[in-house]
Amino acid sequence: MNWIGRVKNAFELPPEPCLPDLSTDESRLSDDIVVRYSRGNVLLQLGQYVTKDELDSRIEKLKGYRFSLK
Amino acid sequence: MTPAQKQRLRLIVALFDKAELVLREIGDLSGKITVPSINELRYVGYHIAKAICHDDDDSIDNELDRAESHCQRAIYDAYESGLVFSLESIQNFRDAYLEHSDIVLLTIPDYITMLEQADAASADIQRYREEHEKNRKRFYEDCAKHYKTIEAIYKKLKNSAEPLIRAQIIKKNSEDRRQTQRYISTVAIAILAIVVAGLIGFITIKLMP
Repeated sequence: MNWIGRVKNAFELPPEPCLPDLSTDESRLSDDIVVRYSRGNVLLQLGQYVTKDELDSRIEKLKGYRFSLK
Repeated sequence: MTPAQKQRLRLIVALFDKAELVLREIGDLSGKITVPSINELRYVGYHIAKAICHDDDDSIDNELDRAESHCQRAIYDAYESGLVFSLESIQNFRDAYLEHSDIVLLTIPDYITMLEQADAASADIQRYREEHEKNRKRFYEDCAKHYKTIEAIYKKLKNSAEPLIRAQIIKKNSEDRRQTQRYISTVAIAILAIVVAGLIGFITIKLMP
């Protein structure tokens, strides 16, 4: 199972809503859609989420970084 | 369930509300929802349901402990996600304007302090991970403090400082360009003057009897 499958499986996402294709164009999100779906759910539908693995890898990248100018 | 346990349950609900709020705030900031935090909240529901099913106080207490600790971990994870997003944005800002640090420092006098705070927050989240891998929930309040500081820095850099700095850089670039143009013009005029003087001198010598 790929990573999308794993996340979908973990949350048992609801069936695809009868809406215009939201997966490719975030700008199509209109207010009424946000009202009909909770924001969290919309973000999940759009694939806009941070998984544990992604967070781990981003923190690892920050590890060696020095912000100070010195 | 004893009155004390009911009171604990109320505290857990308050923590759950806090986790929801933070999760939404981070989602609004970064445009992404934090999956690890949602997972923790799922466990909270599971342990509360189990607590309700138990009859003996010890088991109920145990389930409430676990529900509380998953709430704390949910808050921690959401803040950590927000911190990472803000730190990455500050990192991008710092790298993008590294060559123009003088202008940045003129626009934001406390820029160095901001970067030091970013270093401290980054070091702390690394430390929580390395030294307290299984018990990071303990640090959810520390993580919240770091998040508030770093989020404020991120917003200041992004919303107010960056447009000013860009304007300053454009101004400086046009001044540099004008100076270069003046220099080139001066050199060209000098060369032209030398050539003309040479020509006049040559013609004068040729015309002399």
